[in-house]
Amino acid sequence: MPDPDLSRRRLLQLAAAGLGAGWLPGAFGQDTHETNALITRRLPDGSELPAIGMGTWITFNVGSDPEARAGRTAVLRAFFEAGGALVDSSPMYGSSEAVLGHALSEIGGDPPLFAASKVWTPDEDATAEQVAQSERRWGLERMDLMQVHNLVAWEAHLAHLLEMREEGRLRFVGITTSHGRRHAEIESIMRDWPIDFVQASYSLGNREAERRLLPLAEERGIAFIANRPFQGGRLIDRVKRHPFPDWAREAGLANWADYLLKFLIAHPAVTCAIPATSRVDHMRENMTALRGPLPDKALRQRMVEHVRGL
Amino acid sequence: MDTWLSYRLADLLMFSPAIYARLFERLNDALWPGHVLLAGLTAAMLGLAALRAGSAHQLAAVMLAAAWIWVAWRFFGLYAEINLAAPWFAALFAGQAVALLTLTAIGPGLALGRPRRVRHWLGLGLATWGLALHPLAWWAAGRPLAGTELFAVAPDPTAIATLGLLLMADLPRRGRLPIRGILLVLPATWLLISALTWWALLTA
Repeated sequence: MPDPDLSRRRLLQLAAAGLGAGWLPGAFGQDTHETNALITRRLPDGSELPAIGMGTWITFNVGSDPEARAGRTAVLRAFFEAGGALVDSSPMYGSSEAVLGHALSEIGGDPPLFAASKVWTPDEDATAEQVAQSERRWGLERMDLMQVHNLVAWEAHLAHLLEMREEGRLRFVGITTSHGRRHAEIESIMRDWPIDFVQASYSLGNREAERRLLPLAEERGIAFIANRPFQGGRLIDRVKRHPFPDWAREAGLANWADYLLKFLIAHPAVTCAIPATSRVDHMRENMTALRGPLPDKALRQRMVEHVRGL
Repeated sequence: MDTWLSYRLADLLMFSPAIYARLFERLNDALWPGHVLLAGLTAAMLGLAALRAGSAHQLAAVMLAAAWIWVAWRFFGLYAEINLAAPWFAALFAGQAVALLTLTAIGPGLALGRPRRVRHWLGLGLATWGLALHPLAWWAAGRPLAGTELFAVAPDPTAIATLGLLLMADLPRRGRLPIRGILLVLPATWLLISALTWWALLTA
């Protein structure tokens, strides 16, 4: 039976974060008993964002398949129920944006969504058109964050997106890369352009971002989104073949997903990690990382060494 | 270019194996009970190709072209929802249909004789695989029967059976034009693309 006081407290937390007004997590039947507050990170405008988000690469590209669409709606509902907000997609992800739009309309209400998508076109004049396309597909009046995907025609798109931000047509602007590519170029954009977000691959199996991008993000006050936190599933599949270590459980980590994600969001420069899944049970596992104690520096080092030895 | 080369094939894959397999279930669901008609048309195409009348061979080639057009429209129309490259593949299938129709207009159509040479027997094996064994193999591999891949519905068995039929067919050279070689290019290209797709799906 949901505890109304806890639910109210939870709503107040989200409302304070500028995310949950009018939407009550747990309203879809999940038990809302909690022991810990959500782990959130401050954004460049001072608002707060839950530190675990959701990616949609592959997982939400299901086309018009009604059975698969219903499954993805359940995944998104579980995400919101667990306190998630940031959902990241791209026009490059096939039907993912349209499937998200369908899921959002099925869920209804006013979920605490932080909508992040991307501009991905070599046409330098198509920036506003792609933003409008994302708004249409998601069924939203305004996207929270638009990013230049994989630096495609980035100069023109970034200039247009920044103009749109100034006009209030977007909240935030960012750039993305993945698989550890083009970090030097990303770094130079982070230095020279007034962007709010940068997104790059960061996981326990790929810590390249720790060398330059994360320190620079921290220095410049740029929010950092860690994509591919499970390395496309390969990392979590690999660690799940081994027993979960007792010392990690004693440190407050619940499962391997919690382990891999908390390692990331414990980095002071990481704003949000965005694992992707097509399964509700995996979503719930992922979202355990949104609560509970974060590992300190020494524990993070132990986590690295343990995974390296597996 | 270096950036592109640093991706694994699986990194470029934008859908899951389960969703790819669902395409065939959905196509078969939509077609049923049209499978009975499809089986009849396939048998009729083979029968016409085996007759000794030129007009029958031409009709058989038109029916084979229709199979390619149908797959271009129905399968790739659905596949385009999850793969941005699907319209290019649809164009490849439409191109093969045009090539088969051209064969009807300028050549002998699809004329199947009694197998005599290695090429004929190889063709018979491929045609048998594409028309009958390919769907059974998927079923045996654990796909539900409703999700199996059929000639004239799914691209792989259509391409395999077409390769087989073209190897079996009597296709005399027209001057310096290697008609058979030209007609084999697009089905073989598709099978290469499909093999790479499956490689990526299985290694993702």
